[in-house]
Amino acid sequence: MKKNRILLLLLIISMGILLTGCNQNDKSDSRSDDSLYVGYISAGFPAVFMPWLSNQGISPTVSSMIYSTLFSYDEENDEFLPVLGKSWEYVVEPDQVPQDQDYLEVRVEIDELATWSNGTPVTTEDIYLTFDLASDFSRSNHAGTLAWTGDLKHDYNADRSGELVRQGIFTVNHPGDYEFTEEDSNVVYFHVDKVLGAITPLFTTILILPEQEYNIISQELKLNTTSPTEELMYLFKNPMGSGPFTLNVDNSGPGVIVLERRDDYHLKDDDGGILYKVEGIKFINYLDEIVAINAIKEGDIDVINSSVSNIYVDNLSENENVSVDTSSSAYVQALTLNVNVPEKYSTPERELLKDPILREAIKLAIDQEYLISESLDGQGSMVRGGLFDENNKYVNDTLPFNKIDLAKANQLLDAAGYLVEDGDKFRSKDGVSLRFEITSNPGLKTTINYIQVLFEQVGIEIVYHEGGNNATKDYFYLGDFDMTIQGVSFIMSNVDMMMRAHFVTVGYSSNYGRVVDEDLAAKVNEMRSTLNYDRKIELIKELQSDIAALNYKIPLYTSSMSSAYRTDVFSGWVSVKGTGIYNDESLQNLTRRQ
Amino acid sequence: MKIDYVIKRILHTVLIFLAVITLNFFIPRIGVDDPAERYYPPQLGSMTDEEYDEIKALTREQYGFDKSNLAQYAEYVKRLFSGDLGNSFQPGRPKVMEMILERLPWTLVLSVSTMVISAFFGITYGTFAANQRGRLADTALLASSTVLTALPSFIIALILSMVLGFGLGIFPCYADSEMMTSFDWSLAEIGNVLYNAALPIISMRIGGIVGYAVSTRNSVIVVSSDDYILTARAKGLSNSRILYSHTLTNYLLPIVTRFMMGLSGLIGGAVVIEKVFNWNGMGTLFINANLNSDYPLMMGVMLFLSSIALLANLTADLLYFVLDPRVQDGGRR
Amino acid sequence: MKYKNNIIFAIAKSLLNTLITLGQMIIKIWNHKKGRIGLILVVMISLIAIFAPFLAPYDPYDVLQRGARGVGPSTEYFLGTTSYGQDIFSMLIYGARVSMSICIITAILISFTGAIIGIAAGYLGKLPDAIIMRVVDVMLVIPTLPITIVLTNLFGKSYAMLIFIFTLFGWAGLSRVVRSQVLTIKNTNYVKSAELFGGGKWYVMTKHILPGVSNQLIMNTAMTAAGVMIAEAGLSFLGLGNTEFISWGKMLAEAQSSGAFLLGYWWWIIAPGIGIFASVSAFMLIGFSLEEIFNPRMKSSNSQYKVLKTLSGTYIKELFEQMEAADNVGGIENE
Repeated sequence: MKKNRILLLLLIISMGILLTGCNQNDKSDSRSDDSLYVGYISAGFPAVFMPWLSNQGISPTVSSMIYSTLFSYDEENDEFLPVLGKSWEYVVEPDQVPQDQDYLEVRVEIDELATWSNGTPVTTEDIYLTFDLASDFSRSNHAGTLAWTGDLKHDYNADRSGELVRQGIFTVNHPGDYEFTEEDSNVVYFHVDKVLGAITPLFTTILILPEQEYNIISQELKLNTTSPTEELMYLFKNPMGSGPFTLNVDNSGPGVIVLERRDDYHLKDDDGGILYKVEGIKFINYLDEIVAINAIKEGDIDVINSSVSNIYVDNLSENENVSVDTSSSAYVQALTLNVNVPEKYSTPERELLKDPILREAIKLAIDQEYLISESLDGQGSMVRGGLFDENNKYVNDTLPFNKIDLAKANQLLDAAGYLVEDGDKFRSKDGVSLRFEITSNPGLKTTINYIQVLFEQVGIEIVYHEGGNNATKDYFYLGDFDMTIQGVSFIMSNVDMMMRAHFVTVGYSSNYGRVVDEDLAAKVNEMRSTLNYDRKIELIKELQSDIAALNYKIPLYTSSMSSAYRTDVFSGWVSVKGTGIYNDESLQNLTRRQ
Repeated sequence: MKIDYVIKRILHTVLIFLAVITLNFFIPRIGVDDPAERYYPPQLGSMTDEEYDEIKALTREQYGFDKSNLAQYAEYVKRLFSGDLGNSFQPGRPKVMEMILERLPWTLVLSVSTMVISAFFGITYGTFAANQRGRLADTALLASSTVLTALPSFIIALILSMVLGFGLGIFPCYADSEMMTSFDWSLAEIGNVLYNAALPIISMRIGGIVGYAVSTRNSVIVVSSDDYILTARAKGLSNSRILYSHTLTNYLLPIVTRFMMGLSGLIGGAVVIEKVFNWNGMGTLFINANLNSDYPLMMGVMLFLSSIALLANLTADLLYFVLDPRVQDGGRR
Repeated sequence: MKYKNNIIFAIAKSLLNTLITLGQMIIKIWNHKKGRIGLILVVMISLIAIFAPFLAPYDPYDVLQRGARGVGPSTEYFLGTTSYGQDIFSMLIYGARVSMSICIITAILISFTGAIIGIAAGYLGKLPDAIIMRVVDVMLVIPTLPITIVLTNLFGKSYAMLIFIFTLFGWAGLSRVVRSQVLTIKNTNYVKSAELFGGGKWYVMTKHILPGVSNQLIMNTAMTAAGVMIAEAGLSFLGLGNTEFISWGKMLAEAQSSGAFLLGYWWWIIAPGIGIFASVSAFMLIGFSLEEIFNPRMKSSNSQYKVLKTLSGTYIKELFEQMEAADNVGGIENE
C-alpha cells in the first residue's frame, strides 16, 4: 500500500510542476518594439506575396505597402497624387485630339528619387516591363491585369502567342517613333483609348514590379504559373518593392506579418521629414473577431483593421484607453435581382423577375429606415436609387430616396395578375408562386430576415439560402441565384470600369452585368468615352436615375463602420470615410507616446 | 514466419495507401464536368464568356486535365512519390508540402504533449485505481469518466477558456501569434509556448487522461488475475512488486496501440481546439484552405493526415509484433 | 395472388417480430435502474423536440420575436437571451429538433449498413470478405473531420449531407466488430446444422446470424447516437452545419463567435452545453444498461467501464477508432 501513496504523491508533484511551469512565464506585455500593432481577422497569413494576384485576405494590404503604383487618386479633388510618377500630362488635350487619331497620348515623369528597397533607382525600364507584362497574357497568365490594361493601346496578338502587334508604351530603351533626349530618360509615354477614365486603372491599380527581378518571366515561366520555380518562389517570398515599407521575412509567419519602414522612401512630408511616422507595423492574425476584441482590450494591439460588430461597441467603450470611431462605409448594399439568368440556371421564378412591375413592387416593399434601425442598430444611412452613396460628390441629389409604399406595391401586383390564391399566404401567377431565395453569406442573415418580414406584407416569400464560401465564384459569376445582396461602390476612380462591369458586359465574372438594357449600355459607353469632363459628370448623374428606374439593384443602406483603436500608445489617429481609422493617413500621422 | 508477417503488414499498408491516394485524386473531380472550374482560382476583373472559356482551356492545359484520367493519375502518383503535394491556390502558389511542414510542429506541440500527458497521468491513475478497486479512487474514476465522455472536448475548452482565461486570467485566452516566429529554443520561449499551450492541452486531454486510466485499470485487473501472476503471488512476491514488474509490462501492448491510434486522431481532432484558442496549426491551415476552396491544399493536408494514420497503424502493428511473441503467428487482427 | 399474399404476410410477420423484440428490449431497459433514467431522458428530449412550437415561449426563427439583448436568466427569459436578443430557452427547445433527429437517424443508418456489410463479410468469407475488409481499412485510415470538410465544400452544407457523411464513415468500424462476432457464430453447431439441412445463405444469415449479433447492434445504436450528437455539435461549431437551422452545436458556435465570453453571457454557453451533455449521457446510460442486460454476470462497474472505453473518444473518428480498439483488445474485460 506504501507504493500507492508514492504514486499519488508523484501525481500531485507532477501536476504542480506543470502548473508552475506554465505560470512562471507571464508575458503580460507582449510588445517588444515601437511598431504599430494591427489586429487582422482572417484564417491565417500567407507566406508568399505575389504583388498582382493578391486579392485574398491580407495580401492586397501588405502588397500595396511594399510595392507602389504610379499615382494615387485623391477623391476629394479628383486628381492624381504623385507616388512613383512625379507628374503627368496629356501631350494633346483630349478634346483637341484629331478625329482620325485613335488614341490619347499621356506623358508621365518618373520620380528620380524613387528607389527599390535594395537601393537601386526605379527606372522607366521597370515601368515598361510591368505594363508590357500586364498586357501580355501569354506571360502573365493573369486575367485581372488584362482588364486593368484594357484601355492601354499596347496589344498582343489575340491568339495569345506572345507576339506584340502594337506598341503603346514608350521609354528611352523602347522609343518607337519618339526621340528621347538625355533629360527624357525618366519619361514614359502611354497610348491609351480615347476615354477619360483610361488612365485611372493604369495609374492607380497596377503595382510596379522591379525589372531586375521579374525579367526572368517568359512564356515558359509565366508569372501566374501553377508551379513556380524556386527562383520565382524566392521573389514571391522576399518581395522587393518601391513602397514605404519592407517585409521582415524572418519575423513573419502564419500569425504575424512584420513590416519595417524604409527611411529612404522618396516621398517626404511637408517639412521634408520622413513621411510615415510609424516605424513599423505588425499585423497580428486572429481567427475570430472576439479574440481581436479581447486583444485590443488587453492592449496587445492598437487597432483592428476591420469594422467591429455593433454588439461589442458598448463593451469596448467602457475601457478608457479604447475608442470607437464611427464612419460611413463606401459600399451601398443593394438587393440584386437576377434579371437576365443564363439559360442553364433558368427557373420559372427567375423568369418572373424580368417583369419590371414585379421589380417595382419589390422596391416599394423595401423600407430602408426599418432595415437600418432593426438590422444595423441604427448604424447606417439611407441611399438613393442610383447606387451612389450619400457622401459621394457626384451623387444625383435630385433623385428621391426610395420610400416604402405597401399599398401601391400590393396594388401594382394585383393589377399585374400576381394574386393570392385561396388558402395561400403568398402571391402567385400562372401557377408560379412568388418564392425567392436570397443567396448570401451568413453575415447578412439578419438583414434578410427583416426583408422577409417586409416582403410578407406584399405576399412575396423570401427564403435565406447560404451561398458557397466564395460568393463570386460559387454563384455570382455563374448567375445561379434568385436574389443576392451585393456591396456596390462607385467612386470617380472606378466608375469607368465598374459601370461597364455592372451594366454592360454580359459574361462570366461580369457577375454584376446580368441586366441587358441597350439604352443603359449605350449611355454608359457614352459616359466612358466622352472626352469632355463636364459632360461626363452630367452623364454620371443621369445614369443614376436610369439605374434607379430599372430596379435591378435595389439599394438597402450604407452601413457605418465602427473601428476600434487604442489611444494610450499612439496618438494622431485620422478617420477616413470608407476605410475607418486604420488608413494611410493615420500611418503618416501616428506618433508613439512617450 | 516472422519476416512473412512483417512483409504482409507492409504490403497491406502499401495497398491501403494506394487506395487512399486514388480517393484523394478523384474527390476534387467528383460532381463537376470540368475540373478546371474548380482549379481556376477566382481573380479580379471581369471577363466575357469567351475569355472565361479560354482561361479554362489554359487551366486544363496547365493542370493536364486534357489528358485521360489514367494519364493524370499516373502523373499524380509520380509527383507524390517525389514528395510533391502540388501547389496551393494562394497567390504566388506556395508549395503545399512547405505549408504543411511549417504548421506541423505547432500541431505536434499540442498533440504529442497531450498524448504524453494523458498517457502518463492516465496510466498512473489507472494503476492506482485498479489497486483500489471498489474504493473511492475507483468510483471517482468511473464517475468522472462518465461525465467527461459525455462532454465533448470543445465544450470543456469553452468552459475552461471562459473560467481560466476570460474570468480569472490565469492562462491566456488565446495563443500569442508571435510565438511561432520568435521561437528559438531558449528556455523562456519554451516556457512561453507551454504557457500558451496550457489551456488547449488541458481541454483536449482531460478526457484522454480518463480514457487511459480506464483502459489501464481494466487491463491491470485482468492481467493480475492471470495464471502467472497467481504463480508469482504463490512464490511469495509482494503485491506491488507484481504490479510493476508484471502487470504494466503486459499492459504495454494495448497502450502502444492506443498511443499510435491516438496520434492519427489527434492531429485531425485538433481543428476545433485550434479554432477556440487561436492556434495557428494544421487545423487552421485546413479551415483556411476550405474557406478559399483551395483544393490542392485541402487534398494535400488530407493525404498527409491519412499517411500519418497509416504509418502509425503500421508502427503499432510492428511494435505489437516485436513486443508480444504470442501474436507472431496470427498477427493483430 | 397467393404468392403476393404470402410476401405481405411474411413482411408483416417480421415487422411484428421486430416490434415485439424492440418492445421487450424497452421493457428490459425500463426495468433497469440506469436504463430507466436514460430512457426517460431520451423520451423527454424527443417529446420536447416534437412539440417544440407548443413548448417554446418564443419562435427563435422569427426576428420580430427578439427581445432585449444579453439579458441574464429572468422570469421573462427563462435562460436569458443572446447578443441578438433571441430567447435561449426557445432556441434550446428548437435546437433539440435538429440535434436529436440527426443523431437518431444517423445511428440507425450506421447500425443498419454496418450490420449488413459486417454480416456479409463474416458469413460469405473468402473474396467478399477480403474486399470488404480492405475497404474498411481504407475508411478507417481517412481522417473523418477533414474529409467531412472537403465533402461539405464540394456538395454544400446540409444536414442530409452530414448524415450521409457520418454514415459513409461510420459503418466501417461497426462492420468490423460485427464480422468478428459472425465468425464466432458461424462455427457454432446450430449454424453448421442449418447449413447441412439445406438452409440457403440468406436464410441462415437472417435466421441465425442476425439474432446473434442483434445485441451488439442495439447497443451500438445507442452509443453511435451519443457519438453523433458530439460530432454534430463539433461540426456545427466549426460552421459546417446548415446555417438555416438552430442546433445545439450552432448555438455554441454563435456564443463563441458573438462574444459570450467577453460580454459575460455565460448562460449562452451553459444552456446548449447541458443539452448536449444530457442527451449524450442519456444514450450512454441506455448503453450501460444494455451491456448489463446482455452480460448479467459482469459486475456493474465493469460493464460501465466497457461501454466507456468504447465511447471514450470525443470525436466521431475517435469513437470509431475506439470501436476498433475494442475489437483488438476484445474480451479482456470479461472477468
